[in-house]
Amino acid sequence: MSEREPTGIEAREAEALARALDGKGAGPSLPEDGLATAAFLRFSRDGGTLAPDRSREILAGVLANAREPSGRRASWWRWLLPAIAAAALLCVPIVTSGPTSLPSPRASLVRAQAKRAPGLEADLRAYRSEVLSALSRRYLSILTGCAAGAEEWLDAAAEAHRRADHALARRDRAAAREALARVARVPAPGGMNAEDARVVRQDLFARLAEIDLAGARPQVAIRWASRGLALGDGGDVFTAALRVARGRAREALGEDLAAVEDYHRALVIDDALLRRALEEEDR
Amino acid sequence: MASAFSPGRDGLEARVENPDGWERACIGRVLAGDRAAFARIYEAFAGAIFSRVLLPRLGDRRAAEDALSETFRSALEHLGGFDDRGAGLWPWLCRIAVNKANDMHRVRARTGRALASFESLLAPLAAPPDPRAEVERKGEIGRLRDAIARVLVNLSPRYRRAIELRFLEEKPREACADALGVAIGNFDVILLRALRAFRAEWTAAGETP
Repeated sequence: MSEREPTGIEAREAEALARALDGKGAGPSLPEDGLATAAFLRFSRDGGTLAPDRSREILAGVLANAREPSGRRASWWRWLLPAIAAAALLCVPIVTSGPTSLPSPRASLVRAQAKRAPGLEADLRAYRSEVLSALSRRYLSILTGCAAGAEEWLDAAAEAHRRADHALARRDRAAAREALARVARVPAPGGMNAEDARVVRQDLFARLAEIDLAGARPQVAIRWASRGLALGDGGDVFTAALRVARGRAREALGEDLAAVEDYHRALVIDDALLRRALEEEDR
Repeated sequence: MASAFSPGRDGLEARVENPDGWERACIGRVLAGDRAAFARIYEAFAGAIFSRVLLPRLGDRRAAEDALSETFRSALEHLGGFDDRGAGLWPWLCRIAVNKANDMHRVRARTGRALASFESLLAPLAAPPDPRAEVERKGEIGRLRDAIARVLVNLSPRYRRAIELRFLEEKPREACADALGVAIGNFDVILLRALRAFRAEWTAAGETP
């Protein structure tokens, strides 16, 4: 079987990968998916066993270079306690107050969602960016420690969407799914408001469902959407997106009645959102 | 009362019989200045931290070895601040290791290191991590290889052969290209396509919610 001619990008990626596999470092064209798959296959040979000699060398280096361990820090608590108490007071509003006030979706987005109209993806991407920015602003402050890891988790979600966008642009659904699934599986950090976390995870699950729908895997799409919906019904664009995705998947499987239920709930949500958006636009 | 950690005793046996007591005894001795006790901790956990945490996140053995070294250096220096909370050393060491791996990804543009996480590819076969379960670990690797073999069967013969030559038989590029009867540049392209085809098949076979 003859191979089709590689594109310029593919040829550069192949060359960069070959160099990296020979330990010659990463070039700008290095394809991360190819490199990760290669590393995975190499790993499968021995499960990543650390050679005993190398392990001993590393230990010797650690023992030679590490500073003496610091003593137990019980006494630190004495002077840390007031600081912790003050920080805790500052944290209370984040943990106990309501969810972040998120920007409302524009009427065009809600209309597009209700109709599955062209342009929905672009509208949704713009809205997602606004939502993630609003959440990042809330969790980015000196109070971040109270919701330890929230900022990092939000960054990871934004990065996963970016990677998925790039992967889908080159029609690589597997890479897009992988980027999104990696973050979707991780529960939000403990101190984060549950509704804020729901929004972010539902958005990830909705995209995963859409990707598997596009890949003709409706049963998998239903599982993604159901996992997202299990997080709650927020009456927002993200819950509606999950309903639409699950409805389409059910329809593809011939489960028409169940599909209608999901479509109906999505329409109810979109109707309410549209009214609100139009009212805001009138003001 | 006898200490759970006694210098002449086999560390693994003590660790398996009474892991919490063994860890506490080791930590106490390290903080009292006994570095041999830290070597016991290292021997108990280094292999699992390397193969289960660092290598899947970095995809490069040398980088994972460097991160392992940094993980245990940091662990030794901060052992005094270790707060057990009943979970033991394993999750604490894992957190340090994950942070070290993330640090390496952050600076990779500067270092030019070819790093790539394959953690998600392992996810379908992932078992709850337990550094003590070496027997189970061997079973996991066997299952992983079986699963890979099943996916390889679905690839075109040429792609399958390219992967086998380069990664399972560890042949250099030139030998792989010779075996397939193509120029080296063509082999590089075939290999990249083979890897992408494998990834898509692997993901479709196992990457489900």
